[in-house]
Amino acid sequence: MMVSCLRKPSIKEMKTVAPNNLKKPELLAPAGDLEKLKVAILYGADAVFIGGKEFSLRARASNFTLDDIREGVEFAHEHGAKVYVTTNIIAHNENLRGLDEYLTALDSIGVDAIICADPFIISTAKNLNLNMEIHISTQQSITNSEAVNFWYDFGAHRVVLARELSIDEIAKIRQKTKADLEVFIHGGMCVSYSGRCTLSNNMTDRDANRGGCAHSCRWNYWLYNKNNQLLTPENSFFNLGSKDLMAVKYIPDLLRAGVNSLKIEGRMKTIHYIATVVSVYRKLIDDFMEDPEHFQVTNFYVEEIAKAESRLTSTGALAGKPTYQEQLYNVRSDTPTQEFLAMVLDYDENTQIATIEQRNHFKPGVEIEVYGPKMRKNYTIIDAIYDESFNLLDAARHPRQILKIKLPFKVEPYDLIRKVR
Amino acid sequence: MLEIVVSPTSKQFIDRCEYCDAFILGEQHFGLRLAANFTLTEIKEIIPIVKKRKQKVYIALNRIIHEDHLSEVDEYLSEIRSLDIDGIIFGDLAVLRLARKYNLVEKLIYNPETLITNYETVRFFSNYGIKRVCLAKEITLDDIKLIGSKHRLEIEVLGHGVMNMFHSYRDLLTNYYRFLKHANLEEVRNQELYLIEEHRTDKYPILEDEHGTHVFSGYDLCTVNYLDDFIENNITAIRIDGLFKDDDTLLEIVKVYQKAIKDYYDAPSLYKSNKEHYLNLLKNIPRIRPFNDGFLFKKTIYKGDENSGSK
Repeated sequence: MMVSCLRKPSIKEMKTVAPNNLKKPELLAPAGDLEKLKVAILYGADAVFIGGKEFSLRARASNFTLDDIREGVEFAHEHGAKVYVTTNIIAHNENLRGLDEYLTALDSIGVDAIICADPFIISTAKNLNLNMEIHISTQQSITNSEAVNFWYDFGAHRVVLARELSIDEIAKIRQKTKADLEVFIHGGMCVSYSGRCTLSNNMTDRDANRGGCAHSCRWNYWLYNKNNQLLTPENSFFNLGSKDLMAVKYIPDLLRAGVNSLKIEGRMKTIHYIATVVSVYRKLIDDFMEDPEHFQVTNFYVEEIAKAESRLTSTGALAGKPTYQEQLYNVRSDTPTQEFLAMVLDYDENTQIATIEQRNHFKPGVEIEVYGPKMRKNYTIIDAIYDESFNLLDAARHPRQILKIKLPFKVEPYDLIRKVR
Repeated sequence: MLEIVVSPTSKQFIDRCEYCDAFILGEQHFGLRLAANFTLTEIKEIIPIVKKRKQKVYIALNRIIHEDHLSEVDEYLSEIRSLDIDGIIFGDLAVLRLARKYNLVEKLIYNPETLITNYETVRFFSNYGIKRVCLAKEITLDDIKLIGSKHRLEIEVLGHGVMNMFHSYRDLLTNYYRFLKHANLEEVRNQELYLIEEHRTDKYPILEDEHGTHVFSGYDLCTVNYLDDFIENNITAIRIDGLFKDDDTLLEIVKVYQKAIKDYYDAPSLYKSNKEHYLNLLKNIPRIRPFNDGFLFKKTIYKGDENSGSK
């Protein structure tokens, strides 16, 4: 993993919130399924966003039935957290039916907001007079305060700003609107203005604005000039794609700028990723709020995130127009980290036996870190692995197999076990 | 009459082109993907010429507006309000708000490229009292017809021309040259270049300018055989885009569409029997870019569909 060099924005030019007026922002995390929703909340997210089966982008991560959503909302509300449902497609004529019923159902379940981009979906939600808030998706690519206020005046509560904005621009917009502002801080980046890209439609017939994005921006291209001369060197493709976003170093600036919600992207990500990234940003926000004037972002946070992050990251447009350092060149694909070994299901304090679910291959003798919410960590070496019936195993081989191990310290369900590097 | 709107390639082209109903004029600083740059001074000179021929002028103000650009957009609106113009094309909703104070809302033409894909969205914007919306290029002819048949307000579609399919804020070509440590950045900036995906053969034009980087489809969209569908379903206008065309090529394309539309109004049967002929006329234009039906008969895959491969 690489952190690209940091170009700090000119903070002195920024109009910022005085330290004593700082409000704790919301930490918003993705949840691709119920388990991830619970993990995100247990590890410190104030809100999660999820995709239902209809009207939502990110096809493979949009699988929450109404029953799942109900269970997710109940869990979230018990833990003082919120649930937002993405209904962020740009609808075609044939997608218009059933929206009233769907939105009404979400509202009666107690969903806290919908995230939407299509004017029809936005206006339907408004006209139904629901309790749910209306959040305008980044698919509208909103880059200025007038556009924010267009939607705020229409009845939207919050606008998710375009990922093309610098902290300076965000701070200026903040000064000119009453709308809640949400900003992406971590995860995959569209390199195009979101919602304005149809590479996928053109190249694969899959509608990027209706959940079918094929990520054609991450493919390899040859570049030619008008005279059909190849400008790409033999050993290097031309690429459009962006490195992922990691805004760790800019969280204090974003909070001083008065952003209301910090959003982590990645409904496709593993629970290990969600737990790690969420708890690092949770701690970062809490640490900053404790003493805003003296707080310094240290490498500690970056190193913690690196335990789950396998993709190259950058600071996107937060420090200004991205340079080549924010681009992804000649990277075939990301390799998931193998460090995540298992998740804790249960722990018996009398016997010190933990029941765990396998996620990656491991053998006795491996040194582990057991990781829980609030960055609680304990270390040990696994001396023996048993199956559910306490048969001794030479290795944990099978995905999702239920196993028993002895742990000399107390652990909780949803604690994660990872290999020490 | 189905209106032909042309984004012209030069002042000379405008002088020669009596065959359309309206021109899109704009400064590249305020308009996106324009085939030619026209300063306000030039626009002021052109207006009386085209007005004498009873042609209309639409100003391109469709840039994506970052916070610091709001004031100059505001200023631009205040300058063009006194001109004899018939429309202002915008792509950022900020313009809809800024235009109120200059009483320009009824001249606004909303073209957000990808975002107007259903008839309810058209109705949404008709409630704001704007003049016209431009439909996304990625919907089918059936969708266009259905939206048109609801005739909420003026509707424009791309008639002929390159389809933009990607707009990044980033200077992707300059970035790439910097990555390669290539000294000659002029080789890629504001140049007509193209991309070929490693497993494909289509040539996608790519253009970097002050608004970032644009990538376009390998084929132009051609709708000359569907003008009857447009006319019969209340589509107001077709746009013929001059980008990546020279004066002569664009002029010949416009003439074919003008003849086709004239034929239709003379007798729909005449137009219908001539469809093959129009296609041949287009095919025989020297240097014309390859063209096809775009998405008119190609339904894009919605994630919930069967066989989408994305489940």
